[in-house]
Amino acid sequence: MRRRWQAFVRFAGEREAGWSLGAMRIAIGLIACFSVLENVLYGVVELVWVEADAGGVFDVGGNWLVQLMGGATPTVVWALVVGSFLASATLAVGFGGRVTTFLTLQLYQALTTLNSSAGGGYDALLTNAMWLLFIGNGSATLSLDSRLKSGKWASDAGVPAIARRLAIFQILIVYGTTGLQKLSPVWTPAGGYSALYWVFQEPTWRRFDMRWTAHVYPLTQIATAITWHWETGAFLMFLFYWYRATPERKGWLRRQANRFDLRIPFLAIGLMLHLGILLLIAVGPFSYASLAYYVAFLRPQELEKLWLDVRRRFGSRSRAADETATAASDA
Amino acid sequence: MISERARKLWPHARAVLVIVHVLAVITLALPGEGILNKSRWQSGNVKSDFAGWAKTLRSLGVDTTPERVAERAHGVAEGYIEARDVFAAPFDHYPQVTGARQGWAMFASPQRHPVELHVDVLVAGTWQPIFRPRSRRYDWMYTQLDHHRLRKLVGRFAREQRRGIFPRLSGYLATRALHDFPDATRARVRLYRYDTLSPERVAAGETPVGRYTESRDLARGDAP
Repeated sequence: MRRRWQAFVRFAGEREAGWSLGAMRIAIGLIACFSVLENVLYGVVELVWVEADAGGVFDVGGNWLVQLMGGATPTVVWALVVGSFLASATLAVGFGGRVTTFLTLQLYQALTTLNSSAGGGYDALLTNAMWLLFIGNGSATLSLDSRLKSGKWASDAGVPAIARRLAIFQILIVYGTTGLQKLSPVWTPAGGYSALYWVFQEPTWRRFDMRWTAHVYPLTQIATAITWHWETGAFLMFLFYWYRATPERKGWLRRQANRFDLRIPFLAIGLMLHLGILLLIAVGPFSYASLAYYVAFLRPQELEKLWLDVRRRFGSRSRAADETATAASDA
Repeated sequence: MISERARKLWPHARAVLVIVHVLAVITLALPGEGILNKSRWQSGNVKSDFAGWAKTLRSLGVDTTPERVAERAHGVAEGYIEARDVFAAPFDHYPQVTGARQGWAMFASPQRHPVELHVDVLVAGTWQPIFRPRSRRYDWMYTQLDHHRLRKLVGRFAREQRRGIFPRLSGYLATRALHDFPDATRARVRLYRYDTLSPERVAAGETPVGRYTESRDLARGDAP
């Protein structure tokens, strides 16, 4: 028991380069920034969040910060909107370290939890991520902080690896528990895997007239089956990670897990699912927020390699273009 | 200066905090008391779900009815919530500071009896539609009402009637409509509910026919 605890203490204290967390921070900061701005552009800020007694429409709540500021009056709500926007932008550029991250989390949460009838899981996904960025100091690299400290935008500064691992854990829990909550027969063979057909007919969420899906009903059934089994199968990824962490042990499944990278099909299906959502259903920044977590699946060295590959490819292509242009002008 | 003792203890404290976070995330991701909401259990959608499960069970030789399945499920849900409350109690305040919460079921039971928000104004004795969801023709306040936060709010009307939400929203919209249409003498906001048609019926060109379940009618000069 003592040995296992020591192993867990070591696991919780491991450090790694901050590339993955830095990239996730940029994505989360930008998504939060645009998510706040979108409410302004659509003109729903006062309609949704200002208290009825203060000139708004609904009886809204307000967490400790809102109460401290004096309730959901127009002034307080707009202060939260502007504050969340600026803090999210600062988070995206990576200035102010953990202080900025924590501040962004508090402001964004105070704003988006004002009206529980007009919020969604996407808000929680963003604040969850901000908490993990706070734990892991996501501004260590790919940030203005890094530039000011070391003179470089990207540095090898180490961050707690547990933050990235908890991000993987978080998104797997989101998918897994979501799958388990789909108790309606329409998600299962008992209901003919018809769930997505019904979702597409719902006036609340569909982006446009989706009656055409009745003509491709079998395709919606296939999509439903893939979605439900993929979501409930998210828990298998924990097994995959455990097998990868213990390759020296025996077992056929473990050998397969170490041979095939299950992350690739899992993330590929997830990507397709979220692209489908973005195209067909209006559920706010849910897909963007979910996809931001996908960066965490890449270890820093994998992300760095990917980045260098991209740079090499585009760099060599632009160099080749330059050389062609020079040769042409010489001729 | 951090003492040597604190330096030695920190890795253990960090490991404990990680465990607390993991337990909190798991517990808070489980559905809460909302699943016992009375109006949800009485909604057409949940009734359809139980009818579906009863049909499946009957096909497997189990003698049951949708009502019996619902009764059994409610009992299980009550027991589950009692247990969940015990586990969740220590983490009640955790998400308030950390934002670590997740309770979205993402279309757990897709709505098969949806509602639409309809807004009309009375001009020269004739009711004229000014808003219909996703309509390019009746697009008054389209920008706001098409926003996902408003969609979410209106979508809830199909599942449950949260206290005061419809009266507040309909009062606001009716007042705003009378302001934006100076010739109108009345404005009304209604919820139109219908049963979604099966793929065969939609493919055959049928359109769902529903009924108005909630209505708010405001005359010019009336307080909202």
